Amino acid sequence: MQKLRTIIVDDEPLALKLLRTVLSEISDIEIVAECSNGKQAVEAATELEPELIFLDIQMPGMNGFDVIKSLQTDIMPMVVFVTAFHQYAVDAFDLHAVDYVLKPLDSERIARSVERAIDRLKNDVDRSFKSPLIGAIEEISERASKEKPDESVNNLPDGMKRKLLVRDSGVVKVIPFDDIDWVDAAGDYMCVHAVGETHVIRSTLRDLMTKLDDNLFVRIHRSTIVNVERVVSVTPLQKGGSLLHLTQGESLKVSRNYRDSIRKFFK
Amino acid sequence: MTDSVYHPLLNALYRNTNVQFWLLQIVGWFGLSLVSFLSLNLWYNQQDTGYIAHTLLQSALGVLVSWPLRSLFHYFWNDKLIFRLSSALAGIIGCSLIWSILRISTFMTMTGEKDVWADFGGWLFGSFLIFLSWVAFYHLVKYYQLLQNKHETILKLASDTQTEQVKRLQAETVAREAQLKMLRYQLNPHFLFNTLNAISALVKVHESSKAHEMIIQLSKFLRYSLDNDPIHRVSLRQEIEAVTQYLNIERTRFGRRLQLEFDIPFDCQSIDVPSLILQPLVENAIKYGIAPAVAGGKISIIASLKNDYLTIDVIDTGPGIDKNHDIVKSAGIGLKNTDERLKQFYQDDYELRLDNTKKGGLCVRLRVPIH
Repeated sequence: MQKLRTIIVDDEPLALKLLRTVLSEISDIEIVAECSNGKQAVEAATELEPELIFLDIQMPGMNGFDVIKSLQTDIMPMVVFVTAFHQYAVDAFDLHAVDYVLKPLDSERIARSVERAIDRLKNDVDRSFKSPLIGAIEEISERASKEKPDESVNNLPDGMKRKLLVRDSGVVKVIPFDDIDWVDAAGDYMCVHAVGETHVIRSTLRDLMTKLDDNLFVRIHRSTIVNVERVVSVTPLQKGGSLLHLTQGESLKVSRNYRDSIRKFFK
Repeated sequence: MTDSVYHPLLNALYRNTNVQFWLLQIVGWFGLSLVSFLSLNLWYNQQDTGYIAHTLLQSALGVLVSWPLRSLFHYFWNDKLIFRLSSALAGIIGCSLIWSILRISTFMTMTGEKDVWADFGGWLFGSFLIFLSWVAFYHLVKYYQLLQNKHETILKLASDTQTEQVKRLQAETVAREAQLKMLRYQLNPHFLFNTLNAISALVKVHESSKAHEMIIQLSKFLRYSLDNDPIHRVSLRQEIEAVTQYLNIERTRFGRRLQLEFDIPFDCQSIDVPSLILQPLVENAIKYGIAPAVAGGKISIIASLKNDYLTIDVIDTGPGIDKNHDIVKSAGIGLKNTDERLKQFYQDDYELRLDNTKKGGLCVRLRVPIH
């Protein structure tokens, strides 16, 4: 069978080296990139579209969870968290069937994760990998802030009609629709990316689409919509898709099927 | 029992043996005259003023005659038993004779009765019994007081010892807590966990010489922690060596993200400082200054000597601190412990301050006397 194209991410050089050594002993794995921080990981994942990513959670700047949130649902690889995290995080992973490996790493455990990834790739034709990940991350942040997530896109006073309320670690933030750069759906959750931050809310893409301005927000993939005013440039890709570059420096994949809808905006 | 429980008069009665003596004298002797009135005067039907007056007078005489006995007993109190017994007997006989003579002569003048001298033996016998009782009672009271005193002294001694013990236990607890806190620093489980992880990784990636080096560093650092009691001082050179070992271990994890700079002038190196005083500061610098920064940063340790004071700066390139917050609180428990330890060593003659550097990092400054 074809090798799993894999990205490994850890801020500690030694940990990264260990991960490389352990994975190189597994014949099903082909390491296509090594990243030492979250930003590099997002860039590499968007550009290379790997099948699998081994992701350290505790990293400076953009941590492992931030990487997941800012990766487009439609290109989300399978993720194995590598962590020395607390018990409650591990519970959340178990609950949402997210794969994780506890540090210190041992070869057998990594090999089992790879096997599991291969099984999942065979069986999960939907490739809906982001949804359980977001579920687990939300679970962890809920427990950390001991707050219920606020899912109020609805019931806003008239003056707030064109704004979104999100709760981030106990603080409610108001986000004007115009500030939204792009949105992607992951199962029961929506990741709203605005001004360089990602907010997770419980809603559906359809629900949000009815509220957002049709002339501003366009669907570019099955689960992704983008604010066209934020698009700086477009790079065509070989298989008919293309890559959008946004003002915040992010890149988004446009699927071949939605090629036309984006094309009309740039004519 | 404390003095304040009693009214001052009662208190004097309880404490002052003179007051007790005279009170018992008066109560005893005039109690005797009451008995004598109720028995003899009524029995013999001698109710004339002369008889009753004589009953009272003989009690007053008794008070006077028995008075010197007290001095006599005091005088012989610490002598051999034989002297004490014979002096007591002599006292009893002497007093009985004097009292009997005084009683009979006053009795005859006051009542006009004659030939009472013929009954002298009977009078003397009664006197003898009364003085014998007096002496017995005197010794009873005296020994009771002594016993009481001794008892009190023992109680006081016991309570003193107890107070002392409580104090000592408290001091010991404080010292042990301080030591435990230090041990927690020395053997920070996080640090040990990360280090062992790193060593296991080094072995796995076949960098056995680096793994070996790291194990040596770790064991040196641990030995330093175990050998140096936190209540002792070490030279700054030794302290810097230990911190270097700690930092080298951390550098294996952080790689190029952790840069180090030391500037310890020669004249500072032999100055004594509390052992492991720098390690928590360096640990904080890594935790808040290096670890959260994507590009990492630099930790500088700079010492200088001026006016008999040693200054050590631990500087990082992190985000610094919010000056509006209480410095000790905002920098966490580590700095509070450092402050407590410095206080133990130098009382108030030291300085521990936090400043943001011009480049935005944090500078923790220690300033201690070199004595």
